[in-house]
Amino acid sequence: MNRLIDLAERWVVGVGVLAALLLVPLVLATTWEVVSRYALHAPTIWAYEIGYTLTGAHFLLALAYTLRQGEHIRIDVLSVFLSARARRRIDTVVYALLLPILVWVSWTLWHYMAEGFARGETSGQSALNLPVWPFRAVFTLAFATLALQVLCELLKSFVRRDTEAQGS
Amino acid sequence: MMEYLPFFMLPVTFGLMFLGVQVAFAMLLTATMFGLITFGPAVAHQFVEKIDDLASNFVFAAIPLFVFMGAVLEKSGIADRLFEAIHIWTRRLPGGLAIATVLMCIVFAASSGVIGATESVVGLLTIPIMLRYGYDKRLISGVICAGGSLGTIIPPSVVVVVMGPLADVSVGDLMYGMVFPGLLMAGLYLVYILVLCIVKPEHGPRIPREPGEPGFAEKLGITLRNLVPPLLMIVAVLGSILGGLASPTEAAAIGCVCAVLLTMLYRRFTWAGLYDSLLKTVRVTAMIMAVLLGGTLFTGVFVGGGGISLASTVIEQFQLGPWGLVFLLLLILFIAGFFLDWISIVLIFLPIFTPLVTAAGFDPVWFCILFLIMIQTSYLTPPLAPAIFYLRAVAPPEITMRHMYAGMVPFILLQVVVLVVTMVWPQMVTWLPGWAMQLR
Amino acid sequence: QSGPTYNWKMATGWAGGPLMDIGAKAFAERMNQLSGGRFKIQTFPGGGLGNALKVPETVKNGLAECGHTWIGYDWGKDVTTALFGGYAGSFDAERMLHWLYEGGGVELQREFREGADGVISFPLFMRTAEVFVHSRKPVKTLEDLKGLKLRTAGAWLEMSKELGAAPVTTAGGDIFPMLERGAIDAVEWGTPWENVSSGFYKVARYLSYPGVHQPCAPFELVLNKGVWDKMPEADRKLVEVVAKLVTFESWARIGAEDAKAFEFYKKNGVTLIELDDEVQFATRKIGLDWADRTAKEGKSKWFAKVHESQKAFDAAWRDADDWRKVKVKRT
Ligand code: NA
Ligand code: NA
Repeated sequence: MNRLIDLAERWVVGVGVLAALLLVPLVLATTWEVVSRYALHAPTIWAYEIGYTLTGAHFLLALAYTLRQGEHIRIDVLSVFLSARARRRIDTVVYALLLPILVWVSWTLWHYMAEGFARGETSGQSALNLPVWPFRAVFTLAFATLALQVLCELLKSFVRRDTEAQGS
Repeated sequence: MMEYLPFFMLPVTFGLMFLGVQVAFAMLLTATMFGLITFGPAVAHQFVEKIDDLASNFVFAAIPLFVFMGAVLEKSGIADRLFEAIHIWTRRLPGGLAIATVLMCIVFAASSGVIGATESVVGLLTIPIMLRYGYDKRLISGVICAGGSLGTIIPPSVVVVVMGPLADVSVGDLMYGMVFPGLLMAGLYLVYILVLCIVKPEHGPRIPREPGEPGFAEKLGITLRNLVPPLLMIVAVLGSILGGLASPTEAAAIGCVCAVLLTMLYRRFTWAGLYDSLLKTVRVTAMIMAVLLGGTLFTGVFVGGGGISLASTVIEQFQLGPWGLVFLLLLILFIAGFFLDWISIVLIFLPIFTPLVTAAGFDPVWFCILFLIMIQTSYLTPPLAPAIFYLRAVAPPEITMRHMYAGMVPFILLQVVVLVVTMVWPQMVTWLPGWAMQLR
Repeated sequence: QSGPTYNWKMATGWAGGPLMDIGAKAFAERMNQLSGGRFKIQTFPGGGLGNALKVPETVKNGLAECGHTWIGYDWGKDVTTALFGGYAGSFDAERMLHWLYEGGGVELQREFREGADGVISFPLFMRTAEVFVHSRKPVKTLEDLKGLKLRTAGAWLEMSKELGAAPVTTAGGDIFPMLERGAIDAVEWGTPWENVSSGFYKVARYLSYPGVHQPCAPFELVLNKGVWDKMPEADRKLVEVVAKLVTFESWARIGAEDAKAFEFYKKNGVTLIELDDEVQFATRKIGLDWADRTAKEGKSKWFAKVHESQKAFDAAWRDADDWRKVKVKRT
């Protein structure tokens, strides 16, 4: 079981690293647009759409990785008074509720992508007019990965309980 | 009963948050629960539309870009050098570092339109140094949060860009109108820190004269070496906006390039350092955007359940005079600010409030600025205090949530002072737009 | 009046302003009035229920029973929407109204939307010619347009390039600071009246008209098909008639308010510039050439059909200004 969780989390971290690296082209594309517009008097047709696409992909793809690192913000003012066990139980219940929701949202996103693909839909945002399905594929990937990490957290809470039970 | 349904969303999400559930997940769970009642299974489509909407907004690029800029400066040790350089001059002042921090915040606020971005840069930059010099942890928290949230009340500001069309007033009028209240707020912060540290020096200790302290010429040399290049970077960011080279979003990207170039200039560039900064950035950004995403899903269900019309019906039933109305609305905003993020507050309340206030004979621009000041307050009021979330993301663990909450109180009071001043003297808001019109 | 009662949500793409007040809300009010209170329609600001630019999706998915949007937002889905929403080659607002209601436009739009997107569609709200640009420098001739950094979006981006402009796309939130500080030279936005509240005139001294890139802009009422199919015939007719009424009312109102807006701009020291004929002719030609090309490409099965219908109507009305409008000497 632990090996499966490790494998899944390696995927989650991989997607997170990819998300982090997207900042590099975002910086370069956005800076190039300024140079191109100001110095060369020729604004690009692509910087805007590339820019918002990279921005969206950057944070969505990192949602799961951030959960794995335990960095999604919590308000721990009152919950510090709860026992560690109670807090773990709450987490388990929350993850158990979240999992079906996230699977459902991923499934709906998948259809959203398929629909865009089938129709050859484009963004209509600028002259670049990118096809919409790749960006929607990113949405689907991001939420499926988040669902996977939630599953990992859920499994970890059971595995950990088992080991604790054995230890005591 | 059904018509009061949206109002029950608040205690549910609030309860989940206090149980220690991640803020974003608390809002997602609440939105799903109530969304299923309001829309049925169609609520999944609403989530999809909102995800697409939030992910396609280029303005939010400023968040990772400014966070990255701060992370690079911190990782490379430039932050340290910068503050050492400032500290040479301000060490004689009570609370000198905190004062320098607020000044830094004002500069960054003028080059960024979002809260969070400013805060992360300045927080990463100054918290370690203030801790090293024995500053009070509450004061540190307050200064970073309050100073960092100046980003949306000193123009440019993403908040007023959203507010303008909702209230049917000019974004330009709002941008001019917020200048004096914003500067007053920053000025009060500075005065407060100075007075506090004179009365209670232990909050921001002055460093006593040391034997080997450098002379004036030497100080100047250190400053030139350490302070000028980072300042040039800030000038590049600010200057590219003011000089008409770039939009605020684009300027943030220029700042990133400059930050990396600076690390090279100081011979501190490493690929490992760059990689670490990128990972740090994506985690902070994902944390911030997750809260925003949860907030928009929550708002969508609240609005769809009829929350807006319900609220306006309730207010109309009070039958208040003009000033009574304004006070009630601001009180509602203050309380809403405890639980909701700024996007939700603006989306839910501005369209209800502006017509009521205009009908009562007040200037809508003036009211929008009061609204904006209340949003500043909402950043600092727990449980949903974005400023504190951003601080948490960049602060070391020895600064606890308790320090942070205690540190907010004086700054919230100062914001109330700004609110009162703006209410009593509407010229604070109206003078500059009028003057700018004549100038053109 | 007897009949079923309706409690509808109306998704819109608008934060506020005329599109909301004399478009979406006016429709809701008129429906209530003329049905004897049987229709209760609650309007929601853009982004309230779903995505402000995807109102037809919101309606089709059943998050709202009906919605108010600009059909042209969907040109990435199907380029035919540009013909219904208005583009550089369109008629003026008067001809557009005649084509829609007497030249078969309404029927075409209804058939197209139901087939392509699964929603019921009617025109609702009609814009007159927009402002061409709010600009930091005077724009009158083709020469003035050379290299003009113009903030725009959608299909006009490509066409404005053919005029020599350097179009820029930015986030909506960045437009004002960029125009104020000169990172861009000009923006195109709504009608003269609608642009008073945007405040662009405060940072850009010059206003060029008419909006040849958008001679008119019909807006759209979309209804959920499931909801529509369940309605009795009389109520469907009521929706159709009220949408038409509100369209004409909005058109009349905008005409009146645009005139006031021009007075307002004059009083506030804005320099008002009428575009040279050569710019107006060139723009229309670019628009029509684009439409001819797109019809030939045949990517959308609807485009050619609608384009032909509009062209035929336009030919019949070519000299209409001669017999419909009396020449008046301006003093
Ligand atoms: Na700002
Ligand atoms: Na708050």
